[in-house]
Amino acid sequence: MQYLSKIKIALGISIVILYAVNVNAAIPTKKMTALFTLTRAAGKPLSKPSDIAVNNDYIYVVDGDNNRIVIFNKNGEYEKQFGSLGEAKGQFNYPVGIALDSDNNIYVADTRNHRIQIFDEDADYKRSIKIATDGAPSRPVDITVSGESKNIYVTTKSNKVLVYKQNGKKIKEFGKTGTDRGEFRFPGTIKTLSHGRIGVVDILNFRLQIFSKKGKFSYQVGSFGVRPGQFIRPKGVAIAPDNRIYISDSYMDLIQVFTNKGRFLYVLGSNGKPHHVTAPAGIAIDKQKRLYVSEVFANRISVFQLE
Amino acid sequence: MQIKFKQFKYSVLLFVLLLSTAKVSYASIVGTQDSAECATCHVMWISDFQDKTVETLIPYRPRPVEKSGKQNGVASTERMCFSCHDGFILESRYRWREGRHNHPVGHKVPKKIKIPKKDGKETFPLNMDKKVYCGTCHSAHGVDWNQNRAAIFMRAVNESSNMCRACHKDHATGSKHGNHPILDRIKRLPEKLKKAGAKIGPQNKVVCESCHRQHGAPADKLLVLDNSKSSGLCITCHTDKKNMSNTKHDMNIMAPDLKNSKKQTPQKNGLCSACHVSHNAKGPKLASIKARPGADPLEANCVNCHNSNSVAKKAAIGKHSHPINVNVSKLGIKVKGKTWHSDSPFVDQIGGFTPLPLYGKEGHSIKDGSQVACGTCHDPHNWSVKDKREEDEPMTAERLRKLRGNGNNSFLRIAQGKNSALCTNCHINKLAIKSTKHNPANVTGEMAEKMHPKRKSESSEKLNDGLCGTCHKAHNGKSVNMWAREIDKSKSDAAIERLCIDCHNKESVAKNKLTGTHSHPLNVSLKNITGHIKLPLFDKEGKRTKDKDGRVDCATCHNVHQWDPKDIESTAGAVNEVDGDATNSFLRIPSTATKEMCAECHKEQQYVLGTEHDLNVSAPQAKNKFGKTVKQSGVCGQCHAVHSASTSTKLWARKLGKANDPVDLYCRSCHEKGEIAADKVIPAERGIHPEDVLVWSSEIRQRAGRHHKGKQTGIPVFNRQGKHDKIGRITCASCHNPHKWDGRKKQKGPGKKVEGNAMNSFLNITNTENFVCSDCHGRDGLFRYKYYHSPSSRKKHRLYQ
Repeated sequence: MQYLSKIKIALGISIVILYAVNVNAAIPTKKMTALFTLTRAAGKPLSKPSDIAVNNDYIYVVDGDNNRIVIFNKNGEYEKQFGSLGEAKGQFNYPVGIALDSDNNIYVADTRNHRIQIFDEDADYKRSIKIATDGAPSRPVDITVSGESKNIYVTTKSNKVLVYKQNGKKIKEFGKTGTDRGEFRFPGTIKTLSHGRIGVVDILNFRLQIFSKKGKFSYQVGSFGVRPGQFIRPKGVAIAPDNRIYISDSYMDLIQVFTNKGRFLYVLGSNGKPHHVTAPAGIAIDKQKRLYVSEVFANRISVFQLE
Repeated sequence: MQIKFKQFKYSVLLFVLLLSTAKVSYASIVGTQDSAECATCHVMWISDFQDKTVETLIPYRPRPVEKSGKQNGVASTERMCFSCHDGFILESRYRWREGRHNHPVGHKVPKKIKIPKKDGKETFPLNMDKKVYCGTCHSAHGVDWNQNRAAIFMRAVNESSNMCRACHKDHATGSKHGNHPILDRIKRLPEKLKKAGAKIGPQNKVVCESCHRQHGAPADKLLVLDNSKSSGLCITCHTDKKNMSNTKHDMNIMAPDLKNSKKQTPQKNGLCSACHVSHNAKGPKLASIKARPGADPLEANCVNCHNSNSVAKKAAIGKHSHPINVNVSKLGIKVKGKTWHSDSPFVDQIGGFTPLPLYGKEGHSIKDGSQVACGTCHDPHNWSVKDKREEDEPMTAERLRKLRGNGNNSFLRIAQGKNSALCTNCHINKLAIKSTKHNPANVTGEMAEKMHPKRKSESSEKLNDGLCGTCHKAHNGKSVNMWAREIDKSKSDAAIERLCIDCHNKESVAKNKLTGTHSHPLNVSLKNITGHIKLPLFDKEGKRTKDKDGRVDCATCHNVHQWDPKDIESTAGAVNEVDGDATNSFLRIPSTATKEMCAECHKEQQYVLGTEHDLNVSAPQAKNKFGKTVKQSGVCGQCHAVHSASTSTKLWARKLGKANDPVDLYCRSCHEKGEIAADKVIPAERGIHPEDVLVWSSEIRQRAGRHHKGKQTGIPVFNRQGKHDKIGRITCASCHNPHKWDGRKKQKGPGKKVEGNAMNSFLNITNTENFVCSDCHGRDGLFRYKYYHSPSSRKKHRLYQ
């Protein structure tokens, strides 16, 4: 009897504690301030812009449905555009991702043309790299260029990450179709993280996978769900100057922030409510801690100041 | 204290146990891959939404009310679709481009659309508000993942537009039912359409998606290309129609606000829409305008505009235009598929036929069609055959209205040129006219210019009149035969003669070929003639008629397109100065020793052939007044002249004899001393029945009952002018029929000279017993009859010694 009473007391305490653990506080949020939006360039509205790259001076936007790259200055003023629909050099067929290297060369995933096109900082065409896996043309999604080696990492719709040298020679590929570690179901954006690690948004595995520069799986961030730290459609990834990882979710219309080890920190927003962005895909952060979000469905780029 | 510690220990154990249980439970709902697969799209099925202890990143909205209406689930929302179709997984961004058009959702289904049902349930379900939503067509469940014929995630395999056609039945029934052809094979889909996202079905068959895109269509009506103004979509496939813009048929220029039966304007729906619609058309050729009451389907589309009350009233199709609904086989052309054949010798001359479109009775252009329609000669989409686009710069309506066509443009399928190539492509045997004097190119002299018809715009048009255009115009002729020349009705009562007379008059090009004062009568009815007449007859307006009441006109005897009826290729008639005879001269039937064209109508006179009155028998070298022998003039032509005869009564072609009797003088042309029948001279002193004796004609005698049934009892009598009369004199023709050797027999002569007797000798009288002669002369009649012509008989009787 005595034991039974003790068990009852213990059970009551446990339930109380368990309730306390399971009842989460409001979603942790951190405010960001809207600065401006980019909606038009050269007299033409942006149409389904999918990705952004930034450097100290310019914002590079993949205006995918218009098959052009648009360059704005940091004040949001239109500077230049290049590209049109086609297969010729400098033309695009529904490009998705964009990246810059340390020399401000521009790399564009010319998705439906099965190639990466490289332009110099003046947007003059330099060269292309044909993307192929298992001997068949493959559609690239996004690119990142690693630091010193300037090796080019390309995510593809064939569920592989391909690594090329600057001369276009493929030196490595990793990943295959699947849900296990190191496997992909539609890898999307790709970014170079601290220490040269490579972060790949694995869209339909609902996670960010982090690899060594040699392609060895390191760890993953997130899982499927609607709790903080989980994803429905993770799309974009960006690294802040403080090495925090920002990941956009194009179904839940929000951006979540993680430590560089992958621990959830907060959602961009305020008062426990996420800041609503419309179908965000590619995101970028500059040294001034400005966040650039491609709101694909809303046909605009929104620029925020992070705190 | 010990108890407290133990209590704490148990509590920690239980907490760990419950916590671990809770985590397992959580993982079982959303953490496992299987459950995540469903929730990938059915996000609201994630159990965390049901757990009030969990703060979710997005709110729970199980049945979102969106513009498309309430739905049973949350999977089929536009945003869910876009979450994968944004280029990162699948590329469909163009479908959501600003200004793009998508299959309507959030609308109730129009009554005309019947969604098919299976087991009482709609195959393509509507949402809770009975409206179309994404899930009406799309589903991730029960789809055949292994098929690669059509897009997956559809409720049915949409191969060959099966799904589209299941609901839009009235749009996919093919051209015979007023819709654009579907499932017809084409060579290939144009590259431009491919790039625009159009598709083609298996075996290169046209499907709905060849023109339409369910999602992201850039143009109205879910079209893959903008089809307004210049109908860019239509002409991408129908490349042969692309030159219609900038022509008189470009309604964008001529009548941009013209509305078809669906209230569509060319400005908005493209220039093709002025005449055609792709679905639910109002007539053949996907007509966009309902045919005018009574219009023949073969011309209905054209006359909708080309009538005196519509937009093309200045080019209205009026009376005396080329007929439609006629069969080319009547021109000797055999149509086999896309090739034409004919026995005409001119086929090689024109370089072979150019097969033209022929139509069925309903106005559809069909392979085995045989009927001529507007579209046989005209391609309404190409103004000029040679120069597809005569004007590069955009035309204005004013300039186009002033533009006058000629035989080399005017939307004709074949440029006419000098030899009227389009006309003769069907009327191939009419090419015979090329080698005759009726070809203006063969006519020289100062009058030659007069052959060209007078047109409003003279000068430059003349050269384009061509072979046929000299006399004919395909539309709005001035008379029958699509007459292009001037007509002076006061010059003749005969409709066809009025046409001929424009050249065959003293002041025109055929001034040397006039019909003269005494010519074969026209406008005479042949209804009393028994038997078939091969020659054409005409009604009062000049139209050919099969009615026996038809009348004789110039074209009864003449075929103005062929000089020599025996030889269609004859070039003998091409020389300006050539003088024809009864074997050519544009006659329909040549005169030969055994056949006469005249006999077609004058059937009783045909028995002259082979008699001594056939000069082939009795005087082949004799010449008529025109200097023609019997071979040249024909048998009839030795005595009769159809044109320019000496007299009006017998159209006499010989020199008249000397006699007081107006009939006798014809006979004495030959039956006189020194003439060709000198051996049969009529006694001058007693050769004629006493002229004071007046006799009833056969007709009067019959009415008076002075005749015997079945017997010839009368004779024709003549007045002082030599014409038949009711009461008159007995003269040569009273007893003689110069065209029949034996009055009892309907047969030609023996072909040689023979001595006659009282039963032949061109005598009409074969029964003197009851004959009119007996009225006066009794039984003596025969004797008297013989007395007149036989000196030997006279000598035999004492009364006349």
